[in-house]
Amino acid sequence: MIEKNSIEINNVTKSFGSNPILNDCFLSVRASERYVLLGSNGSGKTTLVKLLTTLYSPDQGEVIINGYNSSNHAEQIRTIMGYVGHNSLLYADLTAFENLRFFSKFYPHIDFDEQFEYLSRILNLSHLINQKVGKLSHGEQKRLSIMKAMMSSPSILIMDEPDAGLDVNSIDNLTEQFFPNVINGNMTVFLTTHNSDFALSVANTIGILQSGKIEFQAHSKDEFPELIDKYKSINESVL
Amino acid sequence: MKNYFLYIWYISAKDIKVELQRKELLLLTIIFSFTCVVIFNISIDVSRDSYIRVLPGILWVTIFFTSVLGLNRFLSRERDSGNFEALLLLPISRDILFLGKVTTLFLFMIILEILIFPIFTIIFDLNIIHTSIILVAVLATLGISVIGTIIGSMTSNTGVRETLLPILLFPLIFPMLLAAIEVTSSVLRGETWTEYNKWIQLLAVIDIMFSIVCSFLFTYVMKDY
Repeated sequence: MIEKNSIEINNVTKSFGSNPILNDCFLSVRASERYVLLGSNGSGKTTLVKLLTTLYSPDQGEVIINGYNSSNHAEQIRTIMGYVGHNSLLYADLTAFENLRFFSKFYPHIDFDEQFEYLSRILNLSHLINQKVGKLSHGEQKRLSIMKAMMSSPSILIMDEPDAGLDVNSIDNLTEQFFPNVINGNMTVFLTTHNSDFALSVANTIGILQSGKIEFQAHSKDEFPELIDKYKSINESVL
Repeated sequence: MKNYFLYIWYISAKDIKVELQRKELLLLTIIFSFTCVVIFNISIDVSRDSYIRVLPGILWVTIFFTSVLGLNRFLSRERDSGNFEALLLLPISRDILFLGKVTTLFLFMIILEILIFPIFTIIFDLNIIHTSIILVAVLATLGISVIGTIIGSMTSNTGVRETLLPILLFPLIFPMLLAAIEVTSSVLRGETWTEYNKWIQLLAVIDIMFSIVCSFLFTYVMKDY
């Protein structure tokens, strides 16, 4: 049986002015896979994420998410996708509840009360829900940002360096609480990070982005150590 | 279709809620416009007849400057905080987002004008509260909101946005300013509707034209955000 791909990037090129960021890039992520993309600073991870989330459009090639081409079905893609970025993407002047309520209004298919009750309990946010987002710590804002992304019950979750700025305990919470409890078996997760330990703890597949292409990939846990060694040597050569 | 307008309102209602929490934009622009009116009043020492000639210009230049100030702050605040990216990730078309922002700006400027008009009337001792002036104010405000939102969105991620916005905005809204000034002058001179309604028609045509064009343009402005 041929496995269905949730994410397909075919021959994508993206440049800003004369500066090429992605160059003939190919990527396939199977449905229900947890794909972690490693890459050093400036390797093009965020550009790739912005292409997947339809914020950018490719100069050449195609981005296909669950069968939808991003060039002409961007709205459908955004309906089935959750996104957790560098920033919390929440309004600091509104309370956590007001933020979640506002963003959920654009997903009429969801049962807000049910999702809210379930996620606030599982992400341990119930006690913070009436506080203004600007008053929350970075870690709390990140959890809230994850809750916001999960409110629409997405089939694909894109996370751009979700571990950035988090302390060791918060990263442990993310790997031990969030991934086993919140991510259901059918959800595809695409995640970028610098942190190889974090990648190892959550990934089914790991890829390395270098010079605008996915240069190396490992699809099983047995192949991960070798891939991580490659990533470390790439990082050392960059430094 | 019902959802289309509902989503526009959700975007706008959220902006209003944020502004009610901060109270920054409204206070800043009210103080600025009040200062402008007082400065003009002190610096222009003319008779009542001359007031009728210069006051429409003062009124609309004050509204223009205040709207540029508010527009800059309104659009750049959301972009700087990264929240605009969250709006772009919503499963809605870009024109909904655009019209949501236009609605907020329009309501915000109307509130400002509701405050500026009586201040003008008191400070200059000249009644400018008249149906035709209110109509022209609504039409001009809509036009400024539409053009201001598209130009503000284009300039808000440049390093020189404070300077660039008025430079790009002024030539585009000049016909609207001219129409608004002409109608206000005509009303203050006691002319009849038939003498100045061509300006109101011009404003309505500009509003419709720019609303349609800018809604489509916004998708391209937001490309590769």
